[in-house]
This record gives sequence, structure tokens and C-alpha cells, in this order.
Amino acid sequence: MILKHFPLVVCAIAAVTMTGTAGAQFTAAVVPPRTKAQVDTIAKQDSVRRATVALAARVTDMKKWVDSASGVSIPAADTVLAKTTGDSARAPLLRDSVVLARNARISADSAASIATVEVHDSAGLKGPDSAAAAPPTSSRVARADTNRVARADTRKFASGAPAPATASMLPLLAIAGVTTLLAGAALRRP
Amino acid sequence: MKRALGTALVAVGAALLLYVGYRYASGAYERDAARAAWAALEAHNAVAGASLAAAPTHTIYSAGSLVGRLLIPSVQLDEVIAEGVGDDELDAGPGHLPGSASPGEPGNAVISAHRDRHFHSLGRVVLGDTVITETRTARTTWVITGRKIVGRYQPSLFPSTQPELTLTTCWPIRYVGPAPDRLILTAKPVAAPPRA
Repeated sequence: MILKHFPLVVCAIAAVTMTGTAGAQFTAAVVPPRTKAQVDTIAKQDSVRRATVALAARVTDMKKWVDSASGVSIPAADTVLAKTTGDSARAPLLRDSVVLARNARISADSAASIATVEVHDSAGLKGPDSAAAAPPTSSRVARADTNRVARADTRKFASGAPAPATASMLPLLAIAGVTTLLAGAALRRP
Repeated sequence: MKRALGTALVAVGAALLLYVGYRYASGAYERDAARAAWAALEAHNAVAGASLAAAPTHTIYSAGSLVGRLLIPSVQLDEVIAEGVGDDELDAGPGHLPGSASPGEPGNAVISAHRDRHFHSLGRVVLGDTVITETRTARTTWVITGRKIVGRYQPSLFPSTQPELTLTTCWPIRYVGPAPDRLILTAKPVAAPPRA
């Protein structure tokens, strides 16, 4: 009689004795995965920044290629200024300087528009050059360091490190073993 | 076929239970060995007459060596602390986090243990409870001043210039599988008389 209802008896005992354990599986303090969100945000910002910098480089290269294909050279802005403030009596040079100044203005305008797009798209990051060349701000460094520390198991004390990984698989393995054993025993029954 | 599958499941289940039993048994053995070694060390210190005045300001322990003893009278916790928080150290008992201060010395001393073994009663410790640590050079009485539950990746260990004790374990205590949170208890010293 008892053997016939053995699985039922085991289930009943388990239900009575493991109520607390089962309740513990549904943690009252569900901590939102803030660290993961930060990682995602940083990764997204980085990918946006890389994409916009790459876009800016591509657009600049395209403009250089178009200008070179049309036979117009674009000197630096200070060169243009030096030439335009030079001898105004030299008409050919003045004509050239007007053309060059116009090209320089176009170049500066396109650079500014690229920078504007960069600021808009990267959500608070600086322009493409500054974003690429300047070191990250201290808060970003701190966040990145924290995330790096957080992902690794804490085996040595460090400021802001998460608590050491004391999670144990043994209770889970024990329950899995008991369950498997009971299931096997049930299957072996004639 | 059904019978063969049943036999296989029984074998797997038995193997899992044997492994778990072995891990718990070896942990208990290591714990007893650590207790015996600590008792011998205490006896040696008593004979040698070590005092706090002779203690260095920052003790560094080698991995696996005995750091001291941890007592929480309110939950009848009495464990010997080993250096390190690896699997081997945590099997034997609470582990002292390398790089953190030795209990009683200036700085934050971090002690961690498994929730299903040595710190299974840590969940019952409340604010105001007394904690006692004994090292080779100091016996310190602490009072629990902070208790919080944080995510497993949330920064929770911070340096301190004053003596401070941090006890950590996984949370929830009765969670099956890798627990998602950590229980962090912080304590401040109330007295640190030199050992005789």
C-alpha cells in the first residue's frame, strides 16, 4: 500500500518540508540588473560613437575625393587667410584666394555639420575628433572599471568590488540527485 | 527499455548524491582540521605571550593559512577563518578576502562563506548583535551596524581607515542554485583588548 503510493508520499513530504526553500526562490528583493544596463548603455554609446566617427571619416574622405576629382585643392584655412590678407593687387591670386576661401568655408561648414550630427547622435558625447582623441571622462572610466570588476569573481579586495562569489551549486546538485534517483526508481518499478 | 532508463537515472542520481556528500564530508573534515590547527595555535600563543602591542599594523597571510576565529553568540556560530575565498578555502570554512585588513586592524576586514554551510545562520543575525573575532594578535568585539542585500555584481566592498568588519554570503539563504544576491553585514569594533 505504502509502496504503491510512494511517489505521492514523497511529494507530500517534500511539499511540507520545502515550503521555505520554495519561497526563497522568489526573492522579495529583486535587484534590477543595473550593472548590466550600464554595460549595455556604455556599449551602445561606444558603438554609436564609433559609427559616427567612421561616418565622419567616410564623409571627409568622400569630399576630399570629390574635390581632388574636380581638380580643386583644399589648403588649410590659415594658408587661405594668409593669402587673402596678402597683396590684393595681384588679381589672379585674389581670384584663386576667393575660390580657395569658398572651398575652405565649404569644408569648415561640412565639418561643422558632421560635428553637429555627432553630438546629436551620440547623446551627450563631444564631437568626432574630441570623442576619438580625448580620454574618457573620469566617471566613464570609473563605471567601466566597476563593470570590469563586477564581471569577474572577487578574489582580492578592491575598492567598490562586489562581494566574493559564495554561491554554491551543492544544494541544487543534491536536489537534482534526489529527483533523478526517485524518477529512476519510479521507472524501475514493474 | 523503461527499466534501463530507470537504472541509468538511479545511477546518475546516486553519483550526484555521492559527489555532494563527498564535498560536504571533505568540507567538514577540513573544518575540523582547521579547528584543531587553530586550537594548537592558540595554545602556542598563550605560551609565547603574544600581545597586540607587538602586532604589525597590517598582517598579510599566505593562501590557505589560518587567519583567526569568528564567533557570533546570538546564532551559535563558531568558525575558524582561513585566508582566501576560493573553492578549497570556502569548503573548509569562512574565508578572509586577500588584500582586506586582518580583523581588528585598521581597514575593512572582509570574511565570506557559503550560505549552505558555515554561514547558514547569518541570515538570522540582526543589527546590534555581537561578533567576536580572534586572530593571532587581537581579540576584537564587534557590533553589527549594517545589514543590506545587494545584487551579486553590485559594488559592496569599500576600504576604510578605521577597523571595520564585513561579513558576506549568498542570498537568499535557502535558494536552490547560484543565489542571485549577496547578504552584506557590516560591524564596528566596540572593544579590542590585547590578547594575554
